[in-house]
Amino acid sequence: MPPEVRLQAKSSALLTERRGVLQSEAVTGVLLRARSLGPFGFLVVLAILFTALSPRFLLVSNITTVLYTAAILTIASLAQALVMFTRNLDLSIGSVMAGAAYIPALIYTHLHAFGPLLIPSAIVIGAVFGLINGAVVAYGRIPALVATLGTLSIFRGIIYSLAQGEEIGTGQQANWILHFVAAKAGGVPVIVIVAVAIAALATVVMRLTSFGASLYAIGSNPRAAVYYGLDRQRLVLQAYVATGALAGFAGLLLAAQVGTITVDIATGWELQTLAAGVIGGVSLLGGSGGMVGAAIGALIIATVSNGLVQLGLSGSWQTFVQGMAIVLAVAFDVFLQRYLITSRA
Amino acid sequence: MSSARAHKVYLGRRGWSLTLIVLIVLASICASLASPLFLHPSQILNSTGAMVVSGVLALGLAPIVIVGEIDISLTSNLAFCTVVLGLLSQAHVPPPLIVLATLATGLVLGAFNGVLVGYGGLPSLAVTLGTLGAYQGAAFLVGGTNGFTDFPGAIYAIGADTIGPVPISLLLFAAVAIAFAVVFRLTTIGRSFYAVGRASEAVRHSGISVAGVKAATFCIGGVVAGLGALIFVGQYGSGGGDSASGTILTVVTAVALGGLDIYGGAGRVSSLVLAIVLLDVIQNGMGLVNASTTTQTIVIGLVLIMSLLVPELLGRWSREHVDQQRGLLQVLRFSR
Amino acid sequence: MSDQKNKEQANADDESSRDHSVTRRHFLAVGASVAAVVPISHGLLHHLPKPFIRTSTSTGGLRMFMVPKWTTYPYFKAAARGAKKAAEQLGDTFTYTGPTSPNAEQQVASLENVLAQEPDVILLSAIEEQNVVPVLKKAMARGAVVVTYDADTLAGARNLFCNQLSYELAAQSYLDCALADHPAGGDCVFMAASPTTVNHMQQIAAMKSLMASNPKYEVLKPGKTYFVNDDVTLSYNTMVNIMQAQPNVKFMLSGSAVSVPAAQQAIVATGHAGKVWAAGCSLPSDCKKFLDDGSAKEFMMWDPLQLGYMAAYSGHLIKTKKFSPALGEALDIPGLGNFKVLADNVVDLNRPLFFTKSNVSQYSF
Repeated sequence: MPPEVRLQAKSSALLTERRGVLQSEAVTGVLLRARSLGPFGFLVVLAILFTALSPRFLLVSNITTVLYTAAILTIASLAQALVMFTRNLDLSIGSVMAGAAYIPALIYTHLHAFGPLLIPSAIVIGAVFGLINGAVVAYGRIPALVATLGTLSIFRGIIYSLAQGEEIGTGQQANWILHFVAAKAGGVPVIVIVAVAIAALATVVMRLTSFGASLYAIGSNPRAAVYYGLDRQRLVLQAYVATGALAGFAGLLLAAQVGTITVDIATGWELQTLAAGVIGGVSLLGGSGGMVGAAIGALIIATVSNGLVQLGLSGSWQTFVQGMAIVLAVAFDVFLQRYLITSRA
Repeated sequence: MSSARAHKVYLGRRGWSLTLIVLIVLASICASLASPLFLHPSQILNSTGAMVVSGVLALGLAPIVIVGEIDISLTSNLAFCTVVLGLLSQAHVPPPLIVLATLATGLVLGAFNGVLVGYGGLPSLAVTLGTLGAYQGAAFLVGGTNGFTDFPGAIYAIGADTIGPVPISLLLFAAVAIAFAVVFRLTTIGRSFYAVGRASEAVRHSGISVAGVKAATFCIGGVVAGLGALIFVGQYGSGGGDSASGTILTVVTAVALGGLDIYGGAGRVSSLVLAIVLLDVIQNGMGLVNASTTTQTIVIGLVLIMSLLVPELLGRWSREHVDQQRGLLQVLRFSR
Repeated sequence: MSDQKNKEQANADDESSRDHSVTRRHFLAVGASVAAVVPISHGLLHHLPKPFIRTSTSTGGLRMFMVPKWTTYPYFKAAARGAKKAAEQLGDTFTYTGPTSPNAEQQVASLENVLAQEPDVILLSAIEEQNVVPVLKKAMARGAVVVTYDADTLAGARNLFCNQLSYELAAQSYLDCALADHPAGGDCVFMAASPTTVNHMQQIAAMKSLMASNPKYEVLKPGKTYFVNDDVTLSYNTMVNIMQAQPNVKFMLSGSAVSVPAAQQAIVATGHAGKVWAAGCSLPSDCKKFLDDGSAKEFMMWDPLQLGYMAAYSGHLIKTKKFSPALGEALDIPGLGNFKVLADNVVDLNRPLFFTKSNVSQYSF
């Protein structure tokens, strides 16, 4: 086949494919919206349950509390969801958060002029860690689980050696960032507003931009996406950089919220954020779920721990119920999906 | 996914055992140079205690990973089993019954995951993320918060005693490893694990129940977690809700370093055992020279990534190199 | 016919690719090994000189190892400075090693590695009371002296426990802090790392009995205990939820120096300063801000340097047979004073330090 003919054939194939994509868009749109329906339903059920059991649960002040404790987990979960869409995951997210929390704060203790640069530097540090993850996963072709399991240790090790066992106390942090995370605007905590804004922005990016659509595409069918002309490696790298940047921001907020920055801050957040994503209907197999779902997932986790304290259940019950809630949420979501799909067909 | 990938992965695994052996030898040389204490047989046998529980759990995880699933609740399963073990010991149940009941507990907890994943079609990472917390919470609720310390001597011996110089726990680990190696390689059941993991067309037509096979691997993993509990209580002299908590990352590290394809369908028990040995040599060698924990953390992370990244990059380079040579030859032939 | 040919061709291809894979396989194995050995050997050989110096130039001093709950926490580093000072004065070699995070099984692995180095004295802060018992008994059977500090194990598995404060005195000090914050008292909740953290749990039990028996503390009412794993975030979020769910709670009391400042930060950040207080144990560097801004009046701790010094010194005395711990025996630590051995071979340092706005800047840990 001469090259010109081949090119023509290819572009016409692309056109038909595009048409197909447009036609199926209506269907997938409904499905995508349905994806966050399950988690949302579960959240409502939980809320009804806790309201029935505790009179204080539905108070405005308590709902604010739930949102406040969910805010940073939400931002971190959005970051995690971003790579989950591409059929990857980031186990190093806790270490990335810790790095972005510790390093700028460490610089600040030596150089107070660094104050205004705290947020940008945290985002940049997170993005650099994300770049390393992305390069290893996308260009090194190492499975994400293995690669980020490795960087989980490496990044944390770097923080250990920078810190030399010292922690950064509340008094050593910049005052404005401490005030920022504790501030309220019209009764609503500022970090809740920030989290909602980021979730909205992320939703817009995933739903309406070609970047978002490409991420879904390489997650749902990597091979088809490559044939379609998407640069899979570059997109995965970009997703990891974005995840790192967002996680870095979340790390900085977390450090300011809890006050004391220890070297093991944000340990275990890899499982927390994955749990939030999965509860929220973001599939670990990529390509499905939405940012709203991830945010709802984080909200469910915060609601469960709040509700359990409300009920006066402590310690062991919390661990048990939170675990069972994850199983139930996933089962609820999967079975609802299956029901919706079969009832439509 | 594709047969081409599976083929490549399969070939890669053969070289993998060799890589791990070379690594173990080199790490041992470094360790014995750094510390004169390292190369004593009793020291080496003794050091296996640190890895044996994680190692057994990694073996239990192997069939689950081979069918393309994962179970991160194995450590909590183990914790719950130690609680059952402790309760039965308090009730003065005869040791053989305790052993059976502990293994059965592991089986039931594994089966719960297996049914949800296999027959319910739920994502395994999500389900076991949930049961990771649920089983541990249940262990605290059932066993109380103080833990158990009194076990019959026979049970205690499993994790604590030695036959000659060799710890019984190490022999048990070896027995499980050999049994798994045989089952995986030589039996229809073992081959069905790989087939399910590769999700090949053949599986669908052959009448194998994919759900059944998946559930079965979770049951196997559960029984092995029960065995891990038996070793654990002897090793650490206690059991309770927080037994082995926080070791799941070590277990997954062993499996990843052991070259098991995390997407299922490929991996060898022999490589997994070598990976566990390597991790033990590293932690033991570094521990003996009191290397700062920082260094240890970084080294394990680097080994994990480098050992996969470097072969990948070299492979790509050599492939290009070979292609180039071939191209050059053809050009020469053509010009002649 | 052409089929036949194709098959042959395919076979030949197969073979050639197999050949390639054999050579490539070896090539890759060697490459991977070299790449991975670089970090391993760096990690090992980096530390080469130290053990050799230790074994070859030992001047008859003891080999002393200190294993904290986790090495990267400032409190344990301070205790190690104290212990090192004692070791240097006594001519002993001193090594500080242990897990990076409070993981009980990792601590046992660290102890096994210490044991292989034939230690004379082991100083340990146990994460878990029971997990460490087998390895410690093995160590003692081989002639090592085991002294626990900060957090104890079972009495039969160590020679001596240097307790920073008796559980009663600790409980009393926490309650004193609470009353200094808010003399009118009120409802209290407690935080502990986990149900198996002995010192936290014992202190909570002692606080409850003091509230019940001592009229001075009867304005304080005991409540639930929450388990927060010595984790900053969990402590913070739990505190936020507690304040919401139980508006009557006035105090959170804890012996965890991680949980107390995190909970106090939660109180300040959610605008409850002056209405709710976190009281108990805190590093001065962590609580300075709250004392300065007036959201709390008093926190307490002890001097970890003194505790480390005491543990190392007494370990040396026991190993050199200058002191043998038994009920009623006197332990003389130069510069610290004279201590009585209590039941189960426990000595109490009992030097609580109370931090207030005026004195907190004097302390460096």
